Amino acid sequence: MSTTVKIKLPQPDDLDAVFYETVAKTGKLCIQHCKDCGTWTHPARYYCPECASENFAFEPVSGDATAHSFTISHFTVEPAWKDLVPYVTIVAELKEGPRVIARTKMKGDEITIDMPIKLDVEVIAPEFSYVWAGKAEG
Amino acid sequence: MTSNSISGKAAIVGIGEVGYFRGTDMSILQMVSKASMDAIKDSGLSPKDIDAVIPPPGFVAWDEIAAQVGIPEVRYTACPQMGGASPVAALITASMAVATGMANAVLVPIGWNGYSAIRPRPDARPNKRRFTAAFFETVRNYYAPYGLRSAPWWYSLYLQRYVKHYNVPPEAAGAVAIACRKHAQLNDLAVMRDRPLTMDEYLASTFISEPIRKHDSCVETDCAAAIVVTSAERARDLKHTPVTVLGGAEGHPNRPDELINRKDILKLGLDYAAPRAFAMAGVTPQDMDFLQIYDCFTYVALLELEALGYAERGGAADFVKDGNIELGGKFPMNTHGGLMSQGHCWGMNHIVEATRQLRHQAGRSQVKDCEIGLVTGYGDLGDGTIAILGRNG
Repeated sequence: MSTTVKIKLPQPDDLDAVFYETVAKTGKLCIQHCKDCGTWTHPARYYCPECASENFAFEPVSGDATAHSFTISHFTVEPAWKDLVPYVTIVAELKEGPRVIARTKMKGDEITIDMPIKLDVEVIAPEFSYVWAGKAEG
Repeated sequence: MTSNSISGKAAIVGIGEVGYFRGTDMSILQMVSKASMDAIKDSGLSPKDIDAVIPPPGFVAWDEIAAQVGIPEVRYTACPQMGGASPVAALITASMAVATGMANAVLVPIGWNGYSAIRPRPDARPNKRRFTAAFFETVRNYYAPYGLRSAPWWYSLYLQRYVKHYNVPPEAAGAVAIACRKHAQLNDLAVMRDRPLTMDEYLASTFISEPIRKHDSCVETDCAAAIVVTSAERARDLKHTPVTVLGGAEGHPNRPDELINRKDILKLGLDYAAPRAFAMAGVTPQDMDFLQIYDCFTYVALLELEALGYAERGGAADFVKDGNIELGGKFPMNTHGGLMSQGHCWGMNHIVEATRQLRHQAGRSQVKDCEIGLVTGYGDLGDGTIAILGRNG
């Protein structure tokens, strides 16, 4: 199965741009990390939602996560996705706390709520990377 | 009722409803203007008596509405921006305006080419009017690149957890779709009139994005509707039995602009708002004679019923079965057919229907001798609103 999608790339600005640029530069999933209280936040915010600090950096996360929720799209009006239906999208909850959306090659019936998964990124462009979810090892 | 409450101080005195179309030659401005004028005439007031306009969160603005219907002096305007939660939020803001004396009579219209404009059709009039919302930035950056382009795809991200974690059967969502469809058979304006729906047909309908099936989704419609709100005192001298605002509240998930990073991904704005509205009105959910629930998708309506207190989390399936939410049942819901089967007018059609019910002018859908009922709104990424309305107050 081809997983390539010819999508119109987003044009993020503000901290969303910094997030994607950091991921593209490092090749790793990097999430906003508060230097004062240690809270991980996604999408990134100018002020930490826990301690209101503006002192933060985008740092790599473990990739260890669980499938908090997911959906199986059987229908689309978008030409770019038509060949890929049914495609599965996971709401992945990182061990560090934040949740991110992830594509997966797993089938819908292979996924159960809260099952462990492992996340990785696929760099598409400086302004956009995909998060991918696979089965957790071991 | 506390002294700073709006309870009992404002009333809906006029309603206007242009109709629900799948393709129309009327523009949005034309439909909104007509709904506005119909609501003003229905109230017995004239455009010169209106001194405030609360416009929809997009498509048309307060100033052109005022100009089109000939309101000479606008003293107050505001614009709640919360998608389908906006009409009830607008009703609450209008009530505050008349309760405090900031305005005497408020026009609250909404309308759109939800059928013709979103996905242009060869048989429908194109238009260039759009609306914007803050969360669109989240969608552009984080959802749309994943093939999650619009509401059913976004909401399914949390609804699948609801269904899987609480074992919510599809028949529960089907009961909502079928109740709406049955009620639409009694409503001359309903898009889905003469198209009854069985549970077998519901269950056979194809998935858009699991758990949402085609028959879990509301109908795209071109439409407009409007209400006029004035003080309870002034309402007593007008044409119709006043429909009084007994309680109202809005609530929003934390965070409001993003769907998946909420501690409890299933907690809606309505979870926050509903207890405040019931407290303001001094009533309980069990006191309601009818429920007009914002039903963009059946599963969202189930979560709203739980947020209102009719069932524990995951338990709405029991509440909606055996005709409990159908006319003749204990809590008839969406007696006009709802967004599911009458048409998608951002829930303003729910406010119009609640007003008709409490005036006892709902025709074949009338809930006999109803005195009190509620209307909810749900919008954007989970904003919630609720108004509790009573006959005479």
